[in-house]
Amino acid sequence: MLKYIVKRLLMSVLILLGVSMIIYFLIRLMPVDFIQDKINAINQGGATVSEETVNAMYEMYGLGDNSFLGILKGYLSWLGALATFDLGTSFVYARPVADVIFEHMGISFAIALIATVFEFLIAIPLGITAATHQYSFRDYLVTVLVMIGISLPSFFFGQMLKDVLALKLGWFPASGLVNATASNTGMALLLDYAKHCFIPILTIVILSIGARMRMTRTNMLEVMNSDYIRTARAKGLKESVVVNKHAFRNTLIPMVTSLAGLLPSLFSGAIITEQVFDLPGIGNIALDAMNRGDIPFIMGYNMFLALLSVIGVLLADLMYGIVDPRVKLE
Amino acid sequence: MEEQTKNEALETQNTEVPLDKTVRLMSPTRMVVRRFFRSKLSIVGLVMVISLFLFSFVGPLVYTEWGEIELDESGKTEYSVSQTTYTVNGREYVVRQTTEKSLKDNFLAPPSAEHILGTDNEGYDIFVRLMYGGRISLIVSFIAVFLITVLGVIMGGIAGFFGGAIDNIIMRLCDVLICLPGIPILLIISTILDASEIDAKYRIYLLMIYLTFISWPGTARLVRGQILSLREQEYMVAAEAMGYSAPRKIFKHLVPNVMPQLIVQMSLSLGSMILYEATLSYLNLGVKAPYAAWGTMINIISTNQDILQNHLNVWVPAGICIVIAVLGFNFIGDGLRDALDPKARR
Amino acid sequence: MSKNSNHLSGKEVRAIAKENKRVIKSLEAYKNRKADESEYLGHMSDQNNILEIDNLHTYFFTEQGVVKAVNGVSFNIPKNTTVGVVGESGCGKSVTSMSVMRLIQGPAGQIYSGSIRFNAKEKNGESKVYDIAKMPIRDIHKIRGNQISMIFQEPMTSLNPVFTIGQQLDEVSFIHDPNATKESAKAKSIEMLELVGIAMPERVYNAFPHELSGGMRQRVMISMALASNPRLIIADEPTTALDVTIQAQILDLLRDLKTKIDGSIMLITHDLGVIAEMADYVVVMYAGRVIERGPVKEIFHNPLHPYTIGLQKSKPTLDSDSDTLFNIPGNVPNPVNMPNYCYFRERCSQCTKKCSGDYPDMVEVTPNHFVACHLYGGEDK
Repeated sequence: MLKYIVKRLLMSVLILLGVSMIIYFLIRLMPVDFIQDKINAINQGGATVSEETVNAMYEMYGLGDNSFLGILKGYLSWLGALATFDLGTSFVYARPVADVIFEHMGISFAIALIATVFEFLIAIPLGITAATHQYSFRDYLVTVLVMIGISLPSFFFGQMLKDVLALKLGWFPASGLVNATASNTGMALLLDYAKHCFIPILTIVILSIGARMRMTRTNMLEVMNSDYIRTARAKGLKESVVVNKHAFRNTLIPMVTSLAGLLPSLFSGAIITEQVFDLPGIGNIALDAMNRGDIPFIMGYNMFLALLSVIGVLLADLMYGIVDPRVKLE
Repeated sequence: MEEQTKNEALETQNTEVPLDKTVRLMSPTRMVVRRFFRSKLSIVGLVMVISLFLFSFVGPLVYTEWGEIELDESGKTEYSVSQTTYTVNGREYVVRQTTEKSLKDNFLAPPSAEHILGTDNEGYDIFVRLMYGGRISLIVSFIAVFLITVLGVIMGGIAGFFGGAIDNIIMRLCDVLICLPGIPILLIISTILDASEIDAKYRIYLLMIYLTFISWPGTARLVRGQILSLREQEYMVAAEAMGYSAPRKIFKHLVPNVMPQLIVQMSLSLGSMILYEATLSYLNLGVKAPYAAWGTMINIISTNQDILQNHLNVWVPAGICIVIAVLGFNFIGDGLRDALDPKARR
Repeated sequence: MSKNSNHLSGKEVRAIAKENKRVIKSLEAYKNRKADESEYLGHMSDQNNILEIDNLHTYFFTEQGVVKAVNGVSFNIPKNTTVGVVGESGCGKSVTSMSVMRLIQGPAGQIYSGSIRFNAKEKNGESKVYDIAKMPIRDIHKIRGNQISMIFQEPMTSLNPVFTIGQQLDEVSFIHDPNATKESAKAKSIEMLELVGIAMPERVYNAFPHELSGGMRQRVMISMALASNPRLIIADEPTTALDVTIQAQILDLLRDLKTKIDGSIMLITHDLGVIAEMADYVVVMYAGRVIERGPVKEIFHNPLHPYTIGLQKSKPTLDSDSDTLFNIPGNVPNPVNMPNYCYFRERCSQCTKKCSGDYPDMVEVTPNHFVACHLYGGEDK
């Protein structure tokens, strides 16, 4: 077990190295004067990117030296900084990138977590009924809803909900996280947050529920056709016990595994949804940073995402070994 | 058990002309067609996709009143550049707007006989731009899916055939690419494209080519898995023992084994590629003005609340087109899965 | 599209689908109905029988047409006997047993007609005759797992991988004994494990299925089948998936158990050797029909149907001089659209003119020995 974990950890480090190489290479593809232009644009916009920050960045990435050795040196120096969690200083925020990421991560995580909980709570029962009533009207209805959920573009659906629920009906605020005119505290502030986050969470839940429902249904169908379900029926168990105990426990295996794999990605932020509702989450911040050429932030954010997905894969693997008694990690 | 009995029954049918010479079965082709059309959803999907194709490719030939970048203007035009800085929540936004004003301008016209769906904020005919946007979406996603499949088959094939170190390297490369964040990386690439001043018309193609470079691992894993499982098959071992060249045998068996899954995967990824293209265009990274794309046509509402609320004809049709396209390909993909890959049947 | 006349045309395929849909709908409605007990109570034709299968038809409604997997099967299982059902793969023997358990997987598979009368003994000692084929599926728990239990072919996959053996065994006690406590259930389970000859019942009780060997798992399956004190055990090829040495042990176990539990066994197998060792009566099936049935001695010493004779000949023996094994030429026929003449006709070496006539009736040649073949019985209808 321990040997397996160590092996997987080493593999993850290797993958991260690969990702970092690609990201570094991409950044190096940008012409230096273009970067300078972007910096000037930021300066014109009112913020000041200090000479110091820019120089620090040039030094950290080894920009300017386009020989092979120069690139290699730049990469290694950047990697060295990464290893000490130094992601550089953001141009736009004039603060260390890591700080900016951590500051905005919370709101993204809260939204994603709530959305995921609802997603599982709704999708799993629906998936199970669809599977146990295969080919029935219910099954077709679920399938169609699944397909529509998968096919809706998040920006379009988000804007529609915003238009109808917020602008036309006025039930919820259209954008932002807090009501800027009122200075709420305590419960009132929490309520205000909830009101602002309702439509974004609704958007995410509706869009993601389809895939989860389909996964549950497929798993459940596979389990329901297995020999041990036949045994359970032959024992004389009621169909509800067969489904809810024997079949469900087996469907849980891939569910829990995928949940573990999902956990890290909850921190990464939903770029489009946050943009549509102008939430100060990490995704929206990153989008803004990228549009404005905040290179340290872009690099930092991308590495952050890669780290999250590597951890996700790792967690899913380990979880699989814990949940399924048959699996022995080697 | 019942399934098994049934399968046994079906198998015996294929081996020999049995007891009754008049026993007739479905031909394999008819079986596929039948399974595909059994679900009404496949038919709906097919209708959706075909009508979008006709709309996008034949439409502009039939309906020639307006062109893709033909403004409805009859007077002089006036250009004004304005720049405003907003401060929201302590963050600053700079909006630079180049406004093109026609004196007898016809922007945001409501739907009428002249403009079936009205005009957008610039004065372009929305109906016509939907057609051209469809062309871009469909062409781009077909190219991307084709490239992804070719690349995936080659890489997966190499990994499966040679095994060992080569397999290991390719599979680790797949791991790396799967861990790359999708949209953020495309944002970087888009910035690079900005820097190298690519023509607005072609940047979406370049973006999609980049996309194929990070999207092939799925197909590669599929192909590799098939080759490995074929290698394990007993008849393959037997073929090798009898001195037949294994790679040739593998190839011969691989095609029919992997084809159904590939076709299904291709049709499903067509849907996701359209979604990707639309998202990129929405983020103003893909097709840029003045050219039309469905995503670009929706982009305007992220800055203009007036259009979002009061001019639904500007952005809702484009969204509906995207949904129809993605839904259509997904329905077809699902139907094909039922028809071609009985093992994966629901 | 192929113009091959051996293929169904599109029109026919649509007609089949339409007809299937209609029939399945009515059968499913019948299966899922609510019904008063009196609707499915019946009478045994002989009180000494535990099970009477009468003209049972179980069909699979496929896209290719209706597969009549069980096509008019009738036989009885007397009390305290072992009845062996033998036949090639796909002859319908498993489907028959699944029909008795009402485990046929819908919506494609359905009991189409016929009756399965079961002589049940209630907990209070009163005896009732249920017609299983007519029972609504919601009432089936009165019988299934309780009065009849089943042992399956694949011990490797028949136990739920995420529960321990103990959890799965205790469940049986909880279902059938409302007064069971955790302790009493466990005691019963351990007792059952001991009964089937498991050396360390406590350890096996706490084990997960994947930690046991195939033979052990099959013992667990048997103990699970015994836990509810059933009147009838259906063993569907219980030894096929096991090693030869383990096979012998499992068969010995089954034989011992029959005397211990005072019940009947319906043993399904394709192995005549197993039948010879275990069974009192034999039912030979071919292409969804019973072609011959009778006491085991009769069937082995005086087989009548050319198919049974062929089966006997194809059994390997040491004392035969021949080097090659006998085989019956040809294949089991396709069960779609069966014609109305003897299904074995084309493979039969003793085929006569009569054989092109209607499907032969069952005739009783010697007491209790029935055969469906034109060679016997003489009288035509």
